[in-house]
Amino acid sequence: MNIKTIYPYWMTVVPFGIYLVFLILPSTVGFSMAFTNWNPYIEELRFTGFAAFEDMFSDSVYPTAITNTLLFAVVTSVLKVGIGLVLALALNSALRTRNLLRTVYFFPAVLSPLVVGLLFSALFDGKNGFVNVQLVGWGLSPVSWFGQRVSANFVFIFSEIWRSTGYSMAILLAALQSIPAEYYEAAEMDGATAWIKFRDISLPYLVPAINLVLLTSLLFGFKIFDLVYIMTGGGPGYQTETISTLIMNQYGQDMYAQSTATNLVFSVVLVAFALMFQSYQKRSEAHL
Amino acid sequence: MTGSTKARSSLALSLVGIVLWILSLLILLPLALVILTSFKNLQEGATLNLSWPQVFVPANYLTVFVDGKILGGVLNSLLVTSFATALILLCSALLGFVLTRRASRTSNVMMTLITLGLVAPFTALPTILLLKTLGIFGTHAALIAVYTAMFLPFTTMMMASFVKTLPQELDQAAIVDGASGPVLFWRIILPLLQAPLVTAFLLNAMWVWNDFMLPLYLLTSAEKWTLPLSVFSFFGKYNHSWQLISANMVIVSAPVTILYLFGQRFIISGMTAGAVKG
Amino acid sequence: MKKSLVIAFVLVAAVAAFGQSAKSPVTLSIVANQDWVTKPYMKAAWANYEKVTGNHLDIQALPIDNWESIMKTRAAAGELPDIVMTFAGPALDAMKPAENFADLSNEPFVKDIKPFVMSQATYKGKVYGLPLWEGSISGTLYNKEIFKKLNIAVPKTQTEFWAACETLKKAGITPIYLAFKDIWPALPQFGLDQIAVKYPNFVDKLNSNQLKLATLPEFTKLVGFYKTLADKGYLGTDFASNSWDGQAQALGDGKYAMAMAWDTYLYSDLEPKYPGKASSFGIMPFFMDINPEGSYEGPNACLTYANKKSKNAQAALEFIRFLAKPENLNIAYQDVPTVSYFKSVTTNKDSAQVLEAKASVDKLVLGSVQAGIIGFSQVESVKPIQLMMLGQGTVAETAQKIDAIRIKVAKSRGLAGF
Repeated sequence: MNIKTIYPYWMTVVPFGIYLVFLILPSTVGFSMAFTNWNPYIEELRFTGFAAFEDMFSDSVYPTAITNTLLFAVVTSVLKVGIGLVLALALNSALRTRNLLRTVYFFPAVLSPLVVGLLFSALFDGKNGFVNVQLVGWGLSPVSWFGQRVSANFVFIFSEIWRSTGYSMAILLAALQSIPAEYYEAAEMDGATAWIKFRDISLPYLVPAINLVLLTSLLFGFKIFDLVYIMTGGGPGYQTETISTLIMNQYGQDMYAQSTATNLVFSVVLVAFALMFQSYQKRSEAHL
Repeated sequence: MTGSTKARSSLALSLVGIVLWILSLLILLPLALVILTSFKNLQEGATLNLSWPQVFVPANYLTVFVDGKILGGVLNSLLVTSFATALILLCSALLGFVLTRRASRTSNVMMTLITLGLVAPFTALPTILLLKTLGIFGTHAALIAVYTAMFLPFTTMMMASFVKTLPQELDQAAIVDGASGPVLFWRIILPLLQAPLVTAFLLNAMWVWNDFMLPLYLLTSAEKWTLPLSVFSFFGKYNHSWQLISANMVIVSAPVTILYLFGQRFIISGMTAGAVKG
Repeated sequence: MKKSLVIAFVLVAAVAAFGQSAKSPVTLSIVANQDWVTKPYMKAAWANYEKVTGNHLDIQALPIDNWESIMKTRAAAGELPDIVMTFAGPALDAMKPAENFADLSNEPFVKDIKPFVMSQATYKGKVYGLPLWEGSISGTLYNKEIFKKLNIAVPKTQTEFWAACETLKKAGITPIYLAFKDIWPALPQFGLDQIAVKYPNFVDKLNSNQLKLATLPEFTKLVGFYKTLADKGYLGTDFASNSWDGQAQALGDGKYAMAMAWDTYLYSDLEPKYPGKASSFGIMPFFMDINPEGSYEGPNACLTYANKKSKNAQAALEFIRFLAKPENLNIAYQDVPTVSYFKSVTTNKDSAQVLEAKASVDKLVLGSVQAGIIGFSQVESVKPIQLMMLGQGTVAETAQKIDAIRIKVAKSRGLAGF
């Protein structure tokens, strides 16, 4: 038996080719612009070495943006996986209304971040927002949600969890359902409790899916842009900036090379993170 | 199982149901706001709130439908989403299958390169120049190709994680029957990936459907524009007409919601199909 | 021989005639931002063109936040649409007008443009665009009814303005609504107009680093104006959550007495949501602590250009010629509350506010200088001011931060002197 003819590489040529040509090639070309004087006004492109990278180390906005980004990515990922898992388990049961409930919980994932951003900026509006109107109705004082760093970050995190916990639920649900039923039947015959079944069968089989959800949530979280941009634009002041809003601000001010440079450094860090995550993933999935 | 444990577990089940329905209010309430607002007039639609519309204005939907050129948008979105999603699924399943089973140095390097794609940002100018060189800039085909490349890494990793859980003995049986390569993939692996494929289909369809960044850069004619871009006809920097934005939100999200409603039944049948083997 | 010549001639004529009559309608692509496509006179002008010529317009409405980036990216890729719309200033530089746009300097409409718009319509001595735009006057909008009730005379000087704020505050009415949350509505660029008057070649000197904003006492006063507003409570206690969306309600309900905006705002935003309310508002100058009598700002025109490199170049030029005809301009501006840009336009309505304050407007109106200042952004330059208003940083530090942003952007462009 020859592994080379059973799983031939030619089957991957077209998919891999599309990927390299339409994503990796333009991205690489794009990143090389970080070492030039690129902006919309130039007459000729010149190599400028690392000049475009200087800003990053002098600008005092970066620490705030990095903290906000990390906080958002970690908190949303943990909660998305946690709540998603609980929902997936609950909705994998024999509940009569489970189909309807699955749709309800998944629904927000259908909405684009743009739409969710608009919706939550209206809901949490300081003056007429639904949330504050309710708070006042209950005799509490209204909160200036977007007026301070802590509460604004809370709204971002809340809206992201609202938007995409359904997505983690869907993936975990698919993973739960691809576990052969015989495993559970066998365990039941041995008199296993629900907890034992979860710990010894479900969880080990869920590890790859959990890892996938965790990795994509973290990467999405690190790159968070739309929600913040729509709700606060990084304000008040610079208190809610994230790394991606900074990159976008630089681009918006026509500092193309600087923006690309920031993006390059950021991407390198993310790649390093993703690779580290993969090595963890290999270890955690070794039993499969 | 004894009768009493059965009763206890069905009680627990109904409790779970009740809790889930109460929690679902968190999701349903904002959506109710949107739906109610979509029927309000301009004065009432100035803010999003839970009040019942004093005047019902279903004509908002007509306005959105006509001004937002919804019909053309739906057709374009359907075309782009279905082709892109089909390509993403096929490419990802192939990559996930071959690269996981080969488990060699080359396949590891390829997989690592694909992981980079989760991070690699879309870069507008080089992409446009590339597409111009290929002579396909401004076409739906170009958009589909870029979507495929962009969303392929996630789905490939997802497929790989599922292929890993499929015992290799399954392949062996087929190989003994003389199957290899495409036949093995098509007859044995693909049917087993049904549940994750349906999930991946839903997720990708949703992402492609909702994306509004790529068409802005890559399509140069409003006639080719996809549905989500229609929202820009209804809110400006100085003016948010919430009743129209809301109606637009409902229209744009409806197709994907329907897709999920149908799709999730499919996941369940996918589960039983997968469970036969093991 | 002759016969065949005649036949050939007839054939050519027939083909030409057929070609003429069967001239298929052209589709022209327009890229605009989402705000412009909802403007009534824009819609009217475009609809009229489509109706009369039978041609079709493919209108792409881009999101406000990134229309400029998208346009610049397309310009760099050589993929501009047939019709381009953009403001004068740096955005236009990136489009390289001399290379890309038809020169309209000799078109008849140029003589029809009113003098106050000419500076904005001219780029390096030539006219490339048609200023089909609204002529709003920006100033401080105030609620006449509240002022009357509290017996406040319309302020004519900075001192009177502060006194009015104090009276309003004591009467339990928040003096000014500032949509702080959306950042740009702080609008410090209105103050720059007043400073520019005092320093010759203000913009050029800033752009060549011969002048710094932070060293000008007037600029420090402008920054200090915002601190005063916040510290004295003239914006209310919870101004940080004020959004632009909420402004119409704040003014309409009479909880706030004033806002910095423009006369047409009353008709495009306030009137539809609070019918009949626009007439209870008047306009007075901005008092930003720079000169005693304040100032208004004139309109900032967005122009329409014809892409001369497009395959529809001729049709694009004809499009502009069509829009610029006096009869078509009058159709577009029918009943639009705006100052008109063209001598031949008579169908527009001058807004009641501007008519009422005409003497003051004519005396104090200034042109906008902000668009020309490289690195002065309506969002990024406001962020330091926001921090100061929330209690972080002094006036002097804030002025320096705004300069630092400017210098950073100028450096990245490789401008001489930086």
